[in-house]
Formats: sequence, C-alpha cells, structure tokens
Amino acid sequence: MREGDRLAAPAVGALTRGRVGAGSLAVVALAVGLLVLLGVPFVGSGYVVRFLTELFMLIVLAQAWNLIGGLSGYISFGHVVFFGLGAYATGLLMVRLGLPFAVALAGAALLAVTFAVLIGLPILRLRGHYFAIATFGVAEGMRQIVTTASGLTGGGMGLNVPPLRPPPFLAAALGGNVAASSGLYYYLMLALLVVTMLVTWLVMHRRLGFGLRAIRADEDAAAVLGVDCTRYKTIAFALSALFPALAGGIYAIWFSYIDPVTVFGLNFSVTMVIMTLLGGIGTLWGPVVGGVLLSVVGEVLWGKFLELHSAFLGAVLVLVVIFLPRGVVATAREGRKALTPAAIRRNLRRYSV
Amino acid sequence: MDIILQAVINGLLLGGIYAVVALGFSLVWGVMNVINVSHGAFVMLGAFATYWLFVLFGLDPFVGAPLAMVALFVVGYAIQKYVINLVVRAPIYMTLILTFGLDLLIVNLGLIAWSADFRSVNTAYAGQGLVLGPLVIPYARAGTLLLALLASAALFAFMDRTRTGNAIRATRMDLEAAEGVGVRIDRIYALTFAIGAALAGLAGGLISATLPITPIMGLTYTGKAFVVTALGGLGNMGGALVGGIVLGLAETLGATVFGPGYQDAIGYVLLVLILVVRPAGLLGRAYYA
Amino acid sequence: MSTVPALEVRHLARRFGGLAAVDDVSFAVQPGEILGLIGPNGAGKTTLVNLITGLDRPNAGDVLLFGQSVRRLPPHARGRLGLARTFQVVKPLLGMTVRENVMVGALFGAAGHTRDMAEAGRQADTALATVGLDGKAQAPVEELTLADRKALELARALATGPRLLLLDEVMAGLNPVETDAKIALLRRLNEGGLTLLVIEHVMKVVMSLSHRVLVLHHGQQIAQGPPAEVARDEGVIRAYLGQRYSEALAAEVEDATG
Repeated sequence: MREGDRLAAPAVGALTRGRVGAGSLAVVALAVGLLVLLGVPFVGSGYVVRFLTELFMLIVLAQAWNLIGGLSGYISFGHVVFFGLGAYATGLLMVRLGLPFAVALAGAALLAVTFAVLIGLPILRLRGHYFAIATFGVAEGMRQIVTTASGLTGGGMGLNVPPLRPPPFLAAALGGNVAASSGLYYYLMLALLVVTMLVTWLVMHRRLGFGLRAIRADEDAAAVLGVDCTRYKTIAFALSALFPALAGGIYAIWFSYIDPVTVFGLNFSVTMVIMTLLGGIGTLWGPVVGGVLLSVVGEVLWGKFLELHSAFLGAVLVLVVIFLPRGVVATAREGRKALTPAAIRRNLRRYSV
Repeated sequence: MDIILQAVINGLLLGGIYAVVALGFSLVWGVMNVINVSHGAFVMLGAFATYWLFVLFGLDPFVGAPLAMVALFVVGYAIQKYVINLVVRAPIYMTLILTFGLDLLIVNLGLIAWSADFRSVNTAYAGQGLVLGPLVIPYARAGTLLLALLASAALFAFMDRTRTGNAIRATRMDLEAAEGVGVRIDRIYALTFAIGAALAGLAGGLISATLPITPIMGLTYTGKAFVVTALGGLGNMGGALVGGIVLGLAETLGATVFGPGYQDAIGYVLLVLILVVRPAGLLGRAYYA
Repeated sequence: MSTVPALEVRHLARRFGGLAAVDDVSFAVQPGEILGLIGPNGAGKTTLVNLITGLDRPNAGDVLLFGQSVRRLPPHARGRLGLARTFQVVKPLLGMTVRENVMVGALFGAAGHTRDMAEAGRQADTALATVGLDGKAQAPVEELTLADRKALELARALATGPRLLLLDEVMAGLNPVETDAKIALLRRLNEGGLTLLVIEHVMKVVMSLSHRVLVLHHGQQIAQGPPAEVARDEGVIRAYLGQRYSEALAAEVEDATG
C-alpha cells in the first residue's frame, strides 16, 4: 500500500501524540536529564536531596493514579490506601518478623497488589461517582482499622521502622554516613520513579493502553470491540497499586516512622489527583509537570503555615478545574490560542448550565 | 439489656443528625448530579456561625441554628451560581475535584481564623436530660432530633406542594423534560444547592448544641452523608431519613458490640457493602451512571 | 443442504417490568446472507441487537453464533467469535484519533489476538481506506461530522475482522449520493463473504440490499421473507408501511431485483 512507507512517522505521531517528542532527540534529552539527577547527591545540599526525594515519590504516586484514573477513567479518591498498605506491611514485616528490607518490600508489594485485585473485583464494577466514593470508603475504612488494631500496628501512636544502613561504598562516595543515608533513599526513589515512568510508557504504547483508553471512552463500545474490560481494569488497578506500595515501603524506612493519619491520609490522595490534573490527566508527562509545579510553588509557601499551604492547594484545585481542565501539558500544546479571552470564556461556558 | 436500649436511644438521636446532614447532600446529588465533597465544610460553617451567635449575642443554639441556615442558604446560592455552575455538566472527576478544592479552602481558612481548638456551646441545659429509670435522653439531642424532623417535614412539604419544589423534583427525574417545559435549570440548580447548604448549616448548628466543634469536623460528616445517601438512595428524601436512622443505630449498636474505636469504620464498611451489593440503596431507584 | 447459520436466535425474549421489548423472536441468518430488520420505532430492534451482542441479558431464549451458544458469553468474547456491530447512536472513542479508534478494533477483534501494534496499524489503515476516511486518520474524533462518525463506526467494526456484522441504522443522515456509495460498499463486503444484519428505516435501502427481511412490531416478528413478499404482507402494511407506500415500494423492489 502506498500508506506503508509513510506509516512510520504517523505511527510514532499517533502513538505518542507529541508526548515524548521527536524520536532520538527526546531519548538524548532524557538520558542527560537522568545523568543530572544521578549526580545531584554529589553536589546538592541535604535540603535539595530531600526535596527531590519527596518530589520523586509524589510523582510516582501521581503517575500510578494516572494509570487507573487518567488512562482508564476510573477516578480513585482513596488511592493512598495502597501507599499506606505498602508502608505498614513493610514496616511490620521488618519490625515484627525481623525480615530484611528487600524481602519486606516485596512482601508489601504482593500484599498491596493482592488487595487491589480482591477489592477491585467488586468496586471496579461501579461506574463514575460510585467508584470514587467506594475507593474513598476503602481508604478511610482502612485508616480506621489500622488505627484501631493498635496491638498489631501501634495504632494512632504510629510505628517506628528501623532505617537502612547505607552501603559503605555510598558513604565513601558521598563523604559520610549522613549524606549516604539521604543519598540512599534518593536513589531508591529515583529508581522507583524511572521504573514507574517506563512501565507507564510501555502501557500507553501497547495493547493494554489502547484497551484502557477505549474503556475510558466508552466501556460498552470497547466490550463489543473485543476488549475484556474486567480483566484490563483489574490489571490497571493492580499496577496502580504496585507503585504506591513500593513508594510506601521506601517511605517507611526513609522517615523511620509511620502513622495512619499520614500514610492513609486524604492529603496524599488529593495531592496525587491535583498533580495529575494540573499537569495533564491521561498523559505521560502530566504527573511530572504537575508534580514539579505544585512542589516548587508549594515549597515557596511552605515557609508559611500549614493551613495556608492547604488553603492554597484548595484554591489551586478550584482554579485548575475551572480554567485548565485538561491540564498544563495539553493547554500548552495549544499555545496562544488557548489564552485569548474568547477561548477562556468558551471554556468556562462549556460545562455550565 | 439497658445498655442495648440506651444504645438504641443514642442511635436514634444520632441518626436524626445524620439524616439532616444527608438530606441536603442527597438532594444536590440527586438533582444536579454533583457530589458536594465540601458539604461537611458547610456543616462546619453552620456550626461555627451558631457558636459565634451564642458567644457574641447569647443566642441559644436552637435559635441560632435556623439563622445559620439562612446565612448558609445565601452563601450556597452564590457558590453554586458563580463557581460550581461552571463545571456542573463536566465529567464527574471535575466536579469532585472542584468541590474538594472548595472544601480544602473553606476548612483551612477556618483553621486560620479559629485554630483547630475544640469549642463548645455551653448552654444551661447542656449536660442534662430526661431520666427514665436507667435510660437517659439528653435534652439537647432530643431537641436536635425534633428540629431535624421539623426541617425534614418542611422540606417534604416544600417539594411536594409548591411549584418550585415540583420543578426541582421534575429536574431530578428528567432534566431534558424539565427544560422542555420551561423550567429554568440554572435557577433550580442554584436553589437546590442553596437548600443543600442551608440544611447543612442547620445540621451544623444543631450539632454545635450537643457536641464540641472544630474546623476539621466537616469531613466526617461528609463521609456520613455519603453512607446515608447510599443507604437511602440518590435524591430520596425519605430514604435519607431512614438511612440516617439506620446508620445512627448501626454505629451505636456496633460500638456497643465491637468497641467504640470502630464506630466510624462501621460506616465505611457499610458504605462499600451497599455500593457493591445494592447501589440503588435500600430504598432507592436507578442512579446517574 | 444444511450449513451452520452464521446467527441463530431462538425464542429470544426480553421484558422490562410488564413490557416485552423482545417477545419470542426466532430466526436464522445464513452465512453470506444479508438479513434486513425493519419495524416501527420502539419495535425492539436495538434491544434485539443488544441481546445478540451481549450488552443485555435475555429473560428467555438463546443466541447462537456459528453454531455456538453464546448466551453465557460476555460481549468481548462474542466479538472474538467474529461478531461486530455499529451503534445507532454512534459511539466514537473520544480522546483518541480516528486511526487509534480503528486500531482498537484491529487489536481486540476476532483476528486481533495475534496482531502486534504495527500489524494492527496496517489493518486500521486498510479499514479506513475501505470507508474513505484515510484522509482524516490523524484527526481527533471529536472533530468528525456525523457522517464521518458513522463511517468510523463501520471502519472500526471491519477492523475486527468479523464474519458477521450487525449494522444499526448506518444510513441515517446520509444524502442520496452517500447512501448509494454505502450500499455499494456493503454489497462488496457481502460478496467478499461477510454476513450482514441490517437495521434500517430507509426502506429503499433495506429492501434493495437484503436477501431476506424480518419485520418486528411491539417486540414480535410479524413477517419474514424476501423483500417483495414482505412489502406486500398485510400485517406489515398495517403496522408500518401503509397501503400506497407499500405498493410503490413493492413495484420499485421488483424492478430493482428483476
């Protein structure tokens, strides 16, 4: 077919829709970026290292949410539950059973994924609002249970988790145990972030991603076209549980202390959603852009009170939903067009009554 | 046996509060397909309005609560008309996130203004109640239940007997048909949301008469509203009443059996169960997809 | 000669409360046949299609695809057996381009199992060219006109590699030139071996295209047979066509089919 020769370029264009950019240039840029990030603990202050570690973690959470919420259209308002499960499972396996971190982490991941599959069975059948509420209920319920089962979990007092000793070569390379400690958690989170981004990229460009987007668009049409919706939704849900669980496990040893209010808290659930929404729901780089924006601006305001920070978050949410419903990435792609008063007014009227 | 009976009484009284909290929430959801995640924040605002009316002007909360209700009506109308209306036909995640943002904003502004300290409305009759043998019916709670029932009755009458109320019900049943017969949907939406906010404010005022209040109290009540709405069915007024009572009883009886720590968890377990087993609720009909 | 029917519907029934939307309907479609399905609005045509594709469950009866009972199979499994459909109210997959829409069909349909992304892309391009949408392959579906969206539905269904295709009012909203082109396309597909079940209101289309016609009214089948016969059927005339129209139509059909 005459189309055959021209397939390559449009195919890449169609599959990536400009998200990664022109082929090899993007790969080079990514490699350079990664190298820079790898070098930060050598030259950056402790503050920068910590800030970035947290940023990586939040992006992982947001990207995981993006898989089930953005890509598949199943908006979860309790996604933090997997983070909390990962944190507590890791912590408890280490503290109560004396297991080494790697084993505990693997166990926690398995637990979270299994929980996702089991809870997904009933609640993935729910649509729209109802799914969102159910996830919220699951997260809040789990928080209550963990708080109350204090004999096992330490309850509201929290759980102390032994930190990890950094390997000697790291201490030597970074000059001291303190730097090595924060460096260790930095690299762990960075590794998790890279894996999460890779897996998300793979999903988006393979059958699974197509199926999920079809499900998001119209589940009945997708089913008739041959998409096994139940299976795909469950896979997406399980994947979206895996990464937060791993992040939770790393968080547990990083902070050395976890409590139900924090690791099962609404704050994380909300942040995940805001970041993805702000950056661009359903896109690969949305969570990254949103995460960076929100963290940087938030950090500037963190010097003020906690309440102002949260109030600011709230205001951002409201404004983003009203003015930037498709997120920064998508709107930026439209360029100048999107910022004319006429365009803004059109956007505002589009969903009103 | 006495313990059970007292738990039943407590459950009924608690259920009355839950019912009023949920009435507005269910109404807004059923008519506009908007889940107002900031509903609890309106409850909190009503509670604080009543508190300040008591502290500054000595107004008894049972007088202050209706006043708070009026204030919240106005606030709700404005918020719907100028903010929520912008996303009312958008994909659900947008309304969810918007109202969530509103909640964060309202609650945290409250924290900045009033700090997280618990405050109480200390009326003369605060700790007292009707004593029937081993059982106690606290006056404040009984008054709350009474007012809750009154408000519900007023709402039913409004929805059933007035033109506007009928317009609201019509909009709930079939948006396009209502539009077709000339109902001003934008006004109905603003009015519905205002009623929802007003009921939340009333509930908050009544709560302040019986429990300590704090700016972060709202989220729990939003959660209860979810559960009660799920139990009673979307937009179903009678269902909200019944659902509220059921939840109240489930909590107090469950706490008696399992221990007080699990009281809130019971609600969430119930919620997930209902959603999975019977999404239309115990009394409800079909829902917006 | 007994061949396994492409589609067999046996005593299918679907009730909503007291109302029977589909009431004891039985028929068969032979491989390579074009069966037309007509009837007034509310006769139960789309319900019937929903039952066949599995988006709805019957209260009674069975559906067999190529001899295999599919009553217990979910929609996606029926798709894998070679069943495809278009929707009366079009369902474009929003948030994706035209080509991506069709690729979904190519990736998940009957022939989709073994396809990789590149192969699926090629199949999508073929389907798009067949319906004439190849020029708009990269456009987001939100930008398509209704006629193009209908063409997209068809391309997407074709990309699944079906053996049996259910078409729910694909001609609605088309002008005469477009209609003729589509009829020609469907005939070509049918001659290539595709079995068709065509629901239509545009009588000229369904009568000239179909080998046989089935008439539904209030959920019941009131006539079944060659188009000319059905056009003259008393019950059909009363319920649906009207006397004068029926005569004109029958004449037209006889002219067209010789």
